[in-house]
Amino acid sequence: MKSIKFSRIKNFVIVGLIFAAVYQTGTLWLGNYTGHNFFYSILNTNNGLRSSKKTSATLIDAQKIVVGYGNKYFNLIYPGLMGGKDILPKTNGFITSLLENGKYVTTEETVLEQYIGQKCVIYDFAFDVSATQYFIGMGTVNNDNIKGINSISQIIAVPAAGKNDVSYLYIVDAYTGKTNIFEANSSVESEKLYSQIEELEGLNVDSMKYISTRQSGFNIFKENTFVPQWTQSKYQYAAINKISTLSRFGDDIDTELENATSGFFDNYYTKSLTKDSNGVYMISDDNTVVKYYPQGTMEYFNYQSSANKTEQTLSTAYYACKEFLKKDGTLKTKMFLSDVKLNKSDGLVFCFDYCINDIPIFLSEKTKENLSIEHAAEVVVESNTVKKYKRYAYDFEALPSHDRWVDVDFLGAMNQAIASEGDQGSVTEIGDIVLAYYVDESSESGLKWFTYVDGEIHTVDTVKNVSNQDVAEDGK
Amino acid sequence: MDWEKVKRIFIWLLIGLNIGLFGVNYSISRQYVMTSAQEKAIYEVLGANGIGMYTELIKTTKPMRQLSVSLEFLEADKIKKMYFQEDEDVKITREFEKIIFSSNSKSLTVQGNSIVFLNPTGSGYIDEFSKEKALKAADDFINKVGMDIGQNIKLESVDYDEGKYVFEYNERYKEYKLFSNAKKVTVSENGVIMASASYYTVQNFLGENRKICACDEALLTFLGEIKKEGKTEGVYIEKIELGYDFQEAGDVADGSKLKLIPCYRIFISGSSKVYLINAYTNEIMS
Repeated sequence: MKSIKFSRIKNFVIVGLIFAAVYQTGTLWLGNYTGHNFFYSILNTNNGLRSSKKTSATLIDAQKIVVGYGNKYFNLIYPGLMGGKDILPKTNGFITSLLENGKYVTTEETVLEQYIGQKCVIYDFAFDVSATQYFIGMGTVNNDNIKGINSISQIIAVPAAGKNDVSYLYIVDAYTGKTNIFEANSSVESEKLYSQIEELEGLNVDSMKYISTRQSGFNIFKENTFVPQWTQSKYQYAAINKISTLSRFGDDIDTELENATSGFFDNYYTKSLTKDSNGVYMISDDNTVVKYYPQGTMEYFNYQSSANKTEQTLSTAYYACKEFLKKDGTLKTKMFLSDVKLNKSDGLVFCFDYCINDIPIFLSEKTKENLSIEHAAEVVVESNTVKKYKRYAYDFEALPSHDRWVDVDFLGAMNQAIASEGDQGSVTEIGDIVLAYYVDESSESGLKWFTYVDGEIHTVDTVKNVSNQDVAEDGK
Repeated sequence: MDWEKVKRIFIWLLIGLNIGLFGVNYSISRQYVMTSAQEKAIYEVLGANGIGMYTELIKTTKPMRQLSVSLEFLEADKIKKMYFQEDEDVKITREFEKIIFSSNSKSLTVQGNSIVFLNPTGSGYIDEFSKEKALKAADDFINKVGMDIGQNIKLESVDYDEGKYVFEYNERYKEYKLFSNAKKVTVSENGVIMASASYYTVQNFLGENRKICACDEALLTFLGEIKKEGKTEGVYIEKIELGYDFQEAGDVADGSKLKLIPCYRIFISGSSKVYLINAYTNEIMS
């Protein structure tokens, strides 16, 4: 009897010691060392994909699309929310097809000038997009090929030149700085894309040409950027005119404004329109308010709390944002995704800027300050519903005559920007340079160089011998 | 087979294994504990630079993960019921993103995930006004308006200024303080006259355990900052805390969750300025 009892005690001791060993091993593994274990993946399923099944998601738009012709010349297209002509769907089709039918080749240190040496389409993103989110939006999330990619800064699509050639896809990982390379044989999609690029080359013979700074040996920039270049001594262009939303309405402004904003409201009959002594129009119902200010901004706020709090991800939030913007009946000018921010007071904010004829339009620092707006439009999305929306309520039209010109090239503009920093030796980072329309209180706007030096934006005139140089203090 | 012998051997093996595992765990945990030499050194350095310490150092600094939170957009009707009585005549004004509820004596401004409550006449006169009675009034207020909402709220600091006590509470997640979720209640002899709070819902821990800088390293960074500000004498550290706060710039990543990172928070006497140091990078946060 005693020996049986003792044997049972031993069994309990063994079980106890096994538990103790398992517990201590678990503590060692989970508590002290970083991931890479079975428990880690279970504990982190919360961070996985949950929303793609129930909530609609969409592709994150590139800030700009660069089309390369294989001869060191490129065209820039700002695809915007209203589609990027035919190049966008054809490139997306190519990317999807290549990832599904092609194979992963390797991951290497990025050699951009090599990838863009042939006819290609480059998606340049305004921010580092989570790869998972991007491919959820594209619908290829289950592809094993892309599982190793963290976040995307650029995608370069190089369709096969002929039926016996190979197509390539280069995805630059912003997190590692390296490029993931995929290849596939020629396909219907690659042929369509290749033809589209050739067609664009023919159509854009007279439009502004761009070169790649990296490819052309201009290494003063921190990263590759595309800068305009022209063969003549100067580039002629048309200025743009800005027209305020309110001024476009006729005598019956109340009715026209109500109709234009009806997309924001669920119920036509419960809303009211008022105009206060400051000239601010307010259209509201119990849950929503839309205001148009004479100074030139419009604001929308949704007081309703999201009825079904759905899990929000970047791609589902962007879908909600794009669907919402379709309801803005007074938005007539093309906009492109300029930035995405996450801040502790608003949450997720999508920022857009205007563009016209594939040239961006940027607000002057004074305009931004006066109107408390950083970009032409800012959309706050919470639980896949737009909560807040603010927009610079103007439309832009190109004037008929090309009576303005640019005779300061990008190098000249960059030198001026660096000189304005003061001590030239102290400049550590030359980020980017963009030729864009500069919008201030004037009704007409011309082009200026926007340079990003050491985190500050400097605007430089595009015409020689003009003494004005507006130095902005705000960082990018 | 002699199972008893097998069991005996097995038990000894397991005992040996447990001792080994315990030894490894212990030595790993010790690497995150400040030695007495380090303690002595930092006191000397601070003392040599005119900085006094009125508080204990944080001696154990194990690796920490990031915390993912989301903004909690407040439902106006719910919030109104918490701060106003049923029979109170409440006027609602909407100023774009703010909703302002006001009655004869109180006002409540709701903006996104933050509230500011003002009640100049006070929630009720406090006889023989004292810190303890003021604290009770603040605690009662917090429970009544549901600021607790199931989370752990702990009193962090008490300030006294011109007849008013300002109580600051922090939320906790597991054993960690969330500096981001601060709630402040101001109490005068008339009762609660002001309250403010920001609401963030904690989702879960994020990412991997990463090493954080030790308390003495953070204090050296603090010393550098003090010197930059030109303060050379009469600086006394009243409190050092380790908790979670926002990074300076939000990381978009998947686009929906905000991230809190481990930070040291240092208070000095005679100043309302709070020094926040990123525990991962050992850099001052603005």
